[in-house]
Amino acid sequence: MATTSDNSAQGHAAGAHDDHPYGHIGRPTYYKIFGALMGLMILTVLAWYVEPLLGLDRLVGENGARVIGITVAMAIAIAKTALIVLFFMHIKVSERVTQLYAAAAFVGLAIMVIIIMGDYFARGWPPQLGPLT
Amino acid sequence: MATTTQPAAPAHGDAHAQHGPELRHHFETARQQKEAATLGMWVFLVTEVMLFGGIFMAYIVYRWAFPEIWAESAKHLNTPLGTVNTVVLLVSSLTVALAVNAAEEGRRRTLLTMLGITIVLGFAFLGIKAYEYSEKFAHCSGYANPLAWATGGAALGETECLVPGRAFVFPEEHGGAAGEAAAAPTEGAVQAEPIGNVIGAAVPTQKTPHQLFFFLYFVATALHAVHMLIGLTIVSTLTFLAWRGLFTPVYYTPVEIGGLYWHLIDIVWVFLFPLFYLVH
Repeated sequence: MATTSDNSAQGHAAGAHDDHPYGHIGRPTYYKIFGALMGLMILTVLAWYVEPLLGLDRLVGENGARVIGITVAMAIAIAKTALIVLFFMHIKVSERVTQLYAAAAFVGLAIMVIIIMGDYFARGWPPQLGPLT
Repeated sequence: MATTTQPAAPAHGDAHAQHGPELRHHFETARQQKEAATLGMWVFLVTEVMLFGGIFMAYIVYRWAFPEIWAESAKHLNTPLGTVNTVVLLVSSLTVALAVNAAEEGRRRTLLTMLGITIVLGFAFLGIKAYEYSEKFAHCSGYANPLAWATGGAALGETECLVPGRAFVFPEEHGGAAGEAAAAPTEGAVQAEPIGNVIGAAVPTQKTPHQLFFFLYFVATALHAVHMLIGLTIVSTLTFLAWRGLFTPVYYTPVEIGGLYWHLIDIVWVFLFPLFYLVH
């Protein structure tokens, strides 16, 4: 009884993973990811510093320049998050179910933002025209 | 079958004969036990993402509503110190990743060193954060900087208080509303303002929407700082356990999932930094 279940469990585990340590990412990869994170950090600060000097607000308006600024900053932040989650948090070499949970967090956030902002837009947000009713 | 390459299946009757004491008996393999612990940690991290997500949601709504208020307010945050703190946290994330790697490979000395560096970096982050906070509180008390506040030194030239509350005064740069801003600290005048105005529509001379930015700034960074304190407690405990020699290449799950928590705190800061310090 117990022997059969043990056997099947081990047979299951003996697949692709048993010949090397579970979830292994080498040190050189960690250093490369860290370098990339520092590069992206410098890039985001540099973008923030440079954007006002480009005269974007004359080209696309003040709000247009803001949208560009936020888009650049968020794209960099999302790239940094992807690197940290995939490599530092080992999601790249994790079980499928763990990967599913990690993805679920971001799907949940997306649902919250889409539904709430959808509601605000449907009510005539932003409120410069007056208070929400 | 698999039995030809695997050691004989452990009979659970003779306790830990076939495996180390770290393997609990309701798990069949150490690997399965580690997967269960990692998945459990991720379930918790999802709830953490949701917790911070609520604050980010409020941020999105109000920044959408008051873009120019956000641009004016963010100028009053200390971007150089925020950048230094970002570097500190990114380096600490690397040291945690290297600590997990060292535990995995059974290099105890490196594990202890990396955890030690992480603790130092964590306190450095909190120290810089505390300085930034005390700068804001010193301005509220009328002093130019925290040192002057402590020693009774140089006074702040203008009236400014960026800590949300009844004494909140946002320094006006457009001249017109300066008189009104100076009058604000008298408690009666502030109390008389109906609370509804705080979130009310954009009345040109109204200063209160600036408070929203600083309210969100203090709530988000303070919640993040609380997480840093919890993370430091976890890393300190891990250091103690590593010093006691608890972790082996077979069993280092606490280092792994403690590291996951630290990386999550880092990710939260990766978003807080551009959203509060890099606004224009």
